[in-house]
Amino acid sequence: MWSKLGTYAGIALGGLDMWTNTLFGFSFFGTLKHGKSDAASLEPAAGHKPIDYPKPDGVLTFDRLSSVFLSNTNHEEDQPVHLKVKDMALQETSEYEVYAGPSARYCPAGVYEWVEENGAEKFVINAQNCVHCKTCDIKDPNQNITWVPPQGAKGRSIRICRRSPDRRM
Amino acid sequence: MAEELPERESMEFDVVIVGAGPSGLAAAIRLKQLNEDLNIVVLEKGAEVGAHILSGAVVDPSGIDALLPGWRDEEGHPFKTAVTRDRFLLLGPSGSIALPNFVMPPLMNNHGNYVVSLGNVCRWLGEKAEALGVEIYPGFAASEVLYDDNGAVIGVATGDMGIERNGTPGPNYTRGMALLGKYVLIGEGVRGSLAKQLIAKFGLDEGREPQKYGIGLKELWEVSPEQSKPGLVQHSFGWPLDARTGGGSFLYHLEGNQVAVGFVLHLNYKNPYLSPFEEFQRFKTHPAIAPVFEGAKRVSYGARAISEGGYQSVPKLSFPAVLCSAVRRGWSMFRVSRAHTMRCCPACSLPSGSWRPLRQGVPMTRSPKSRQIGATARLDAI
Repeated sequence: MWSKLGTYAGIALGGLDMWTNTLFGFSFFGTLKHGKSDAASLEPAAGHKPIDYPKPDGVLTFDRLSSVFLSNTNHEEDQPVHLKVKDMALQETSEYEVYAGPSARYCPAGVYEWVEENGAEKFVINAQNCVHCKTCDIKDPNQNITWVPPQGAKGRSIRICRRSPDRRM
Repeated sequence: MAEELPERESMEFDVVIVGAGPSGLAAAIRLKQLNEDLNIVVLEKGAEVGAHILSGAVVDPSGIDALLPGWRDEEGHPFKTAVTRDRFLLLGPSGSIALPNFVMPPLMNNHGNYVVSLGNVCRWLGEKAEALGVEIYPGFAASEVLYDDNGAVIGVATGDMGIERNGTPGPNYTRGMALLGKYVLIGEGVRGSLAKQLIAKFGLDEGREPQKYGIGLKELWEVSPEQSKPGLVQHSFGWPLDARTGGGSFLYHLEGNQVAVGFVLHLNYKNPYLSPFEEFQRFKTHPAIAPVFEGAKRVSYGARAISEGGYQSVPKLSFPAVLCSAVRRGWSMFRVSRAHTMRCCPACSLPSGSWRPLRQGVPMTRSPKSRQIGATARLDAI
C-alpha cells in the first residue's frame, strides 16, 4: 500500500518496487504495515467539508437508482432486511451525529438514507437496492452493519436427483 | 426460536464449494480431473452462474492454461479479445499525460492477456464443470456454516426461503438444506459472510495486518463503432481524486463495441463526505474520457468491494477443523484475491491459485505436521 504516502509518491515508489522485484528478484522495501482498518480510517465530519458533486445529466452520468436498475441483483422486497444493524441507536449518535451519515455516500446503490421524519433524522435501509458489494460491512465507522446473503427465489428448493453415494465414507 | 424450526434435510458430498466464481468453479473442475468419482456441489447466490460477476476484466490466461490445456483450440471459449495496447494516463482537472510504456514495470504489462467478460468466463467454466459431473445450484446462497459437536466444520446450510419481511415464516416457507461435505471450500469472494464468521471463530487473521479494501464501481457500455478499439486497456490515476485519496480508473475495450469502464477507490479514505459513486460519475466527464461515450448507451452497472491488503493481510487459508472428530475432518480455504488482481499479479492468478492448496496442502489427519503446506493430498482416498 504505497499509496498511503500519497498518490504520486506512492505510484513512483510502487513502480520502483516492482522494477527492483523484477530485476533482482526481491523487494528492497519488504512489506509495509497498514495500521488502521478501513473502518477506523474514517474521520469525524467536523474536520471535513461537504463535497459539491455535479448533478447527473442522464446521458454520461447517472444517479444511483437508475444504475441499480441495471445491476442484475434483484431481490424480492417482501423478505427480512439482509443488512443487519447491531445497534440502531449507535447509527444516530455516531454514524449520523459524528460522521454525518457516510453510508448514504459510500453505498453505491442507495441502500442507506437519512430522512427527516417529524423533525428527527431517521435511518432508512432500502435493502432491495443492494448490489452485494459489501462496502457497508467494511466501511461503517462503528462496524455496526453486517451483510448477510438475502433470500433467494421464493419457495424454491434443491431438487434431489443425484446418484446415491455408494462409496464408503 | 431455533428449536421451533423443522430439521433441515441434508445431503452429503465429498466437497462443498460456496460460490460459483472463477475460483470455486476452477477448484471443482480440478478436483473432478483428479478424481472423477468425487461428489462435488457448488452453491451460487446469483440466479445463474455469472449473474453476480461484474463483467469486464483483464485476465492472464496462465491459470486457464494449467487448468484446461487445449482450451485455445475449442469453439466458444470466452477469451475473444487479446490485449493489443496498454495505456496509462495521469489525469489533471482538464488535461492528461500518458506515461510512456517503457517506464512501466513488466508486471504491469498486459500483453498476452485477454479482455474478457468475467461473467462469460464463469458461465463457460460452469459448463465445463457440469460436463464433468459437478452439481451447481444457482439461486442458493450458503447462509450458515455447520459444525459438529466438537466445533469442526462439517458443511454449510442454505438460507431458509419464504420468510416474510417481519421475520416470520410465510405461506411459502421452506427450510434451508444442509449440505455436508468432507471438505468445504469457501469461494465467496471478498468479505464473504461465511469467511468473516470463520476468520473470527478460528482466529485466522491472528498476527496478520488488517485487511484493506477498495470499492470498485463498473459500468458496461455499448459504444459507437468509431470509438470501439478492441484490445485497448487503459488505466488512469489522478483527477478527480486529490493526492491523499487513493484510487484510479480502468477502461477496457471488449469485442462487440463494448467498453467496460470503472473506478476503484481505496476504502481507507478519511473524509466522510466523499462519495465513490459520484467520483466515478465525475471521472467520466474528463475531456480525455468523455469522447469514448459519445453516442453510447450504458448497458449495466455494478459495484463490489475488492481486497487490496496484499500478502501481509492474507489470513490463514486452510485449516483442519480445529477440534476435529475422528471421523470427519473439515477444512476451508479462502480466496482473497479476485480476478482483477490477476492483471497485476499473474503469479497468484485465481484458477491455479485456488486449487493449488487442494493438491498440496490438504490436511488429512489431526497430526499437527500435516498442517504444513506440502503435505501430500490424498484426494483419491476420500
